[in-house]
Amino acid sequence: MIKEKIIIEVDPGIDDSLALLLAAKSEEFDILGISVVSGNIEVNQATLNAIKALDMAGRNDIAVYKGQALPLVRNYVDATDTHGKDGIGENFYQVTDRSEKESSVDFIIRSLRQFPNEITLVALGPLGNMAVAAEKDPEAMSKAKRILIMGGAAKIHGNCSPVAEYNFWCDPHGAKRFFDANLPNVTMVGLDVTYPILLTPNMREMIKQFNTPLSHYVFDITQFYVDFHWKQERTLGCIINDPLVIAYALDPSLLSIKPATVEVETDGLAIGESIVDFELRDRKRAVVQVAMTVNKQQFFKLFLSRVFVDHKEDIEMMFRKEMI
Amino acid sequence: MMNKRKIIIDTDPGIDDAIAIIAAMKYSGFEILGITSVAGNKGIEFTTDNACKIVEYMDYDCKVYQGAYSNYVTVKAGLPANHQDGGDVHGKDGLGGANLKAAPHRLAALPAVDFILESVKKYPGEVEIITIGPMTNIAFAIERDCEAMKKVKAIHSMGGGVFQGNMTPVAEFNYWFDPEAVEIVYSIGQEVPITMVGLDATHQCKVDINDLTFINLAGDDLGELIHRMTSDYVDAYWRQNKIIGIVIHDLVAVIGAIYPEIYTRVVFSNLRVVTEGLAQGQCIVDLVDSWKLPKNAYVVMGVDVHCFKQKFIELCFGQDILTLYDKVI
Repeated sequence: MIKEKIIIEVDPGIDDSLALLLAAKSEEFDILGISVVSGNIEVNQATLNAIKALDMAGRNDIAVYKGQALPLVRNYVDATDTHGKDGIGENFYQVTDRSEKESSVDFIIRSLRQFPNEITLVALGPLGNMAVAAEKDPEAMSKAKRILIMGGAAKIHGNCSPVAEYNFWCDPHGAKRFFDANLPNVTMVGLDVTYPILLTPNMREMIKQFNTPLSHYVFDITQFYVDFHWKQERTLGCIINDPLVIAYALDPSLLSIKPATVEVETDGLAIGESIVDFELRDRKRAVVQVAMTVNKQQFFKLFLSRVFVDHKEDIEMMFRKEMI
Repeated sequence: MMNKRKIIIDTDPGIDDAIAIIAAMKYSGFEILGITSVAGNKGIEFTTDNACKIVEYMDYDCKVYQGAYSNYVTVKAGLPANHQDGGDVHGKDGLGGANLKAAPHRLAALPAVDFILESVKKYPGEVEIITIGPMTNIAFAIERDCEAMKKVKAIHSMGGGVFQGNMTPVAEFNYWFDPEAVEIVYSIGQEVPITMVGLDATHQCKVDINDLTFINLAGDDLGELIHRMTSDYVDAYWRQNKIIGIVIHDLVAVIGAIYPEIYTRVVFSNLRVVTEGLAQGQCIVDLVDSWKLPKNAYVVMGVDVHCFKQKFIELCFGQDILTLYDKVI
């Protein structure tokens, strides 16, 4: 099997951690490395959290690189209210930092130069790091096979303001400069499709009943997230945005996409808003594929049966019995 | 003020019994005259203690009356209790580690059978019995004074099954535990309407983890208690039945006694029970009336599960929480 070369940028983050599990457990991928940036939590703790997720997936062979510590312009606001003081549900795991010395920007550029048109770049955190890479070596960055972004919101309510999604809102200048770089082959997977991705109490109970170290880890890190969702918006369960992008990289039939252009507001009331133009009015801007609908059940089948591959039969039975 | 319905709950708590009793106590249309205990899910000392604990937790103005220590045949023969109880499904103390406060002062001196007969004679034609354990006490009451017991207004029984079993392939636990008592109780089924809420009905009423999580998060102290009390039950249902969620059998009988509209199909039938052999405890229910035998049981075959859950949540937690439930589930 020819494996898909992939680099994943994360800010773990509970849902980022789940995305790393899904990627690390998918044999289709040759994961060249993980880039970590500040977002849900600052980069040093986020790095430990990424290492923890890879450990839980049994993949401590995957290299981890640190990236941007701060938004390009704006004061940094983390999301520890959502993800817990340690970024992954306040379980305070003991983890040793084994990250590489090379900066993640240099790692990304080096990899793209080494394997032009072969690498899938996935960005699940704020986009400052990607913007810096794009400005430092636009030619290399344009040689990504595809760039998949989790962030933004086209036709749906935001989660940091009525119009802004966290990753774009946290570093609006990073997001703006990334899209202004007009890179080809960019897909934006925003709240329009991640909002329905609700990990329900029923699913969490099933996971808990699998009774393995990995299943307890997933159950434990999502508990805080569930409590937050209930307190914040009376949602029963937790929305796990990031793994959807990894799942889409594996199975493009999960999402329907529409071509558009994307600009990002960096100031004022609409700070962090993604202005998505399906009319493609500005011909000078690169076309971005924007995800608009999702097959939720197909996602969860893929996600659960890959992360908990030893329990595939139970998972299939639960779907068949419509218990999840 | 409208007259309240006079109720006796005969029970072997038991996690699902506990939740059912709590729901019954939350219903203002009931005047619960007393709780009678019976051996079943656990031995009589446990079920009696647990009944007292629940009365105390709810601070309800009624007493607990201790009943039979084993099934009809064993008690009749004066043999020691020798039964297989509900095992670890209900946790060590039978309440899944709910840690409710002991309340021995809630126990009355009067035995269960005497209390049942006294109540029925005091309020002829008014008393309804909700029986959610083995029916040993009711059977002994009938044996002692059948005419008095024919003045019971109605019996609501959780137990049995037409096409399903849980103790054996064909028998439900309560009826399997004391089939002779079942036979005696249904012998007055032509005089007293007996509703059988068996596994065919209760198994439709799965309460899943979305529901239990909601109850825990939205339902104050009581919600938290129910969540805590059922956590071992959840493990057991996954282990034994591979379902995500639980069936609170006894609760269905109580909610149905309060809101019969949750029942979508009830078949008035002849019911007999197998008292020995491989099929011990099995209900033989002539749903299609092919034998033209006297009908003695209202057998519940269909339940509107959504309506059941709504009624339960409204009853235990109020209208606002129900509105929230309808929104988030």
